[in-house]
Amino acid sequence: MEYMRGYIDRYQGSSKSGEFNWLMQRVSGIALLVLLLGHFFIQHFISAPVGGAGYAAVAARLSDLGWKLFDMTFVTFALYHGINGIFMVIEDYVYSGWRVFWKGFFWVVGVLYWVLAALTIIPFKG
Amino acid sequence: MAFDVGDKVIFKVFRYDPAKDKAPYFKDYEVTIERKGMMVLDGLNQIKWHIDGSLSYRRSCREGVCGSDGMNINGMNTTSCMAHIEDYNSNVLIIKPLPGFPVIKDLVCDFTDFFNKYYAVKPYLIEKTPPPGTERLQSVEDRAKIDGLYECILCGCCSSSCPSYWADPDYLGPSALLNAARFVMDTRDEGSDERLDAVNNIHGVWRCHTILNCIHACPKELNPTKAIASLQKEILKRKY
Repeated sequence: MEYMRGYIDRYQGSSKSGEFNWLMQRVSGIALLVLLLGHFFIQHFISAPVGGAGYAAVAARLSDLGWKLFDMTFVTFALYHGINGIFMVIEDYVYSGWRVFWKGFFWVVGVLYWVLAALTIIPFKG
Repeated sequence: MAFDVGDKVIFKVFRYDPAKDKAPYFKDYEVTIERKGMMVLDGLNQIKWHIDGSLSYRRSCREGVCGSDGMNINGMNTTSCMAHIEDYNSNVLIIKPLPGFPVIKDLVCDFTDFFNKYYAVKPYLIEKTPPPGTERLQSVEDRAKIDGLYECILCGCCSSSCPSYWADPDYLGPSALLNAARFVMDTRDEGSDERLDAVNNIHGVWRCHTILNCIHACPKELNPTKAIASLQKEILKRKY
């Protein structure tokens, strides 16, 4: 598979040099930290103090457009960060044509999870 | 552990002669401490000169300048001429060739790939303006920018300790990238763009996952990880 290396590297699209993915891994990491801590504090200390989060409170929050946006941003960054991390592992260890397969596979997995999340979050009415 | 003159230390040395041996094996040698502050290279010389002349290893200057004798001693890469026997706090030293490099014989590794990667980053001054009469003068501050970069002796200890280097056979590695940074940070050099192009690659700076083995391995106490980070920063700064 030695002869395929150049071929595979040429067809990596935006990840050809890896600089965009590298930068975005850091950006998404920081975004996740902010979103996670924000979520935690709003949840447990501001909107619903500890012990006060019943179904009604959660349903009301999930029906709110602002929270839908928040959750979609959160899930988008989380999936990007996770799948992009797997891409980096693939780039480290896989050099044969399998690299194209595995990257494609995780693209599909990522998109499917994103659709699943969107279907769960966006139409929710309580 | 302090050794006295006359004490014995066991050197377990990796032996492999592809012409004779089916597989590598370790051979024990009893090295006598001849003087205080004896280096591992002195021990190897004692084996080579007085015990077993068939042992192969590279050495030249024996003072940490030529970078010939990079090897793995008790699990750490270093140059044997800069490694005090007593610093290992052990009566037994396990001596192996540099991990991840093809072995030619015993402790001698094939550095062809390592040097090809070094040449790939254009490790020489690229000038576009003609020199000003005599030499290219540099201020003390500008000169200080390449401290911690220019001292590399190309012993291969850092690249050989890097798991990314083991995993990706095409990864340029900490040594080549540190030498790229040495010229990118040099104010006299005018070839930064082409050099950064060469390292801004899926097998270049982005393959570094800050494992930091290279820093521990470097016998000259340089910091390749920091050098790689400075290249990454420079690439992103020029683009965004």
